[in-house]
Amino acid sequence: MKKYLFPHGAQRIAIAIFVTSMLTMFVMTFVLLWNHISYSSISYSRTLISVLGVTSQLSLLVAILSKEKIEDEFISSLRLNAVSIAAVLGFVYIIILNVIQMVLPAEAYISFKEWRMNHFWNGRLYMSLAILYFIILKVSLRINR
Amino acid sequence: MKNTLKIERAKKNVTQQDLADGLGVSRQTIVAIESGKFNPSTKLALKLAAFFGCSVHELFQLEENE
Repeated sequence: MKKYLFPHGAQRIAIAIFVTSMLTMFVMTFVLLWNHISYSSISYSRTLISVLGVTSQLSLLVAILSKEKIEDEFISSLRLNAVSIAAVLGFVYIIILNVIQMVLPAEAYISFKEWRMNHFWNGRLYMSLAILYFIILKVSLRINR
Repeated sequence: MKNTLKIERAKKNVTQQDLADGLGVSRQTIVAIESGKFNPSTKLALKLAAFFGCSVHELFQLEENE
């Protein structure tokens, strides 16, 4: 695994790109919503949001696949542990989504189902898993400092 | 598994950071080994023994229930 990781410097750059693209997306969505404009109605905003989405996902992937300052066997074990916990929490998250869908009244069920499908197709679930993995790894490192 | 890493370190008056630098590992690794949270690989155990000039058996011992 150690061989296939990006250098530590890539992690900082990737996090900076991730935060910037997420903030830009957030601000853009907020401005469009504030002006009651659907982002899909303007072609350049649709393209820009798609590009920002891909950029944030790619930067997150680089961040989670980057080495720590000193990458040794203990850090590798923490990395493995973080992946396992993120995977379990991901499954719990899916179960919670299903339970919410199950208990919702009929009208809310349809919109929730649409949101959920959108949520899945946009790959946000995978992003939340990646973010969880990254947070767990960093918290584990901090605890063992 | 228990270990005498902290004692050996105190005897030699070596900090966790010095030990980590000497072995090319992170300080977190040394902290985790000392607290018994992490069992090092054979390679790292041998490196630790070589650093303190003792045998691996002197550094690491199995506990009674193991």
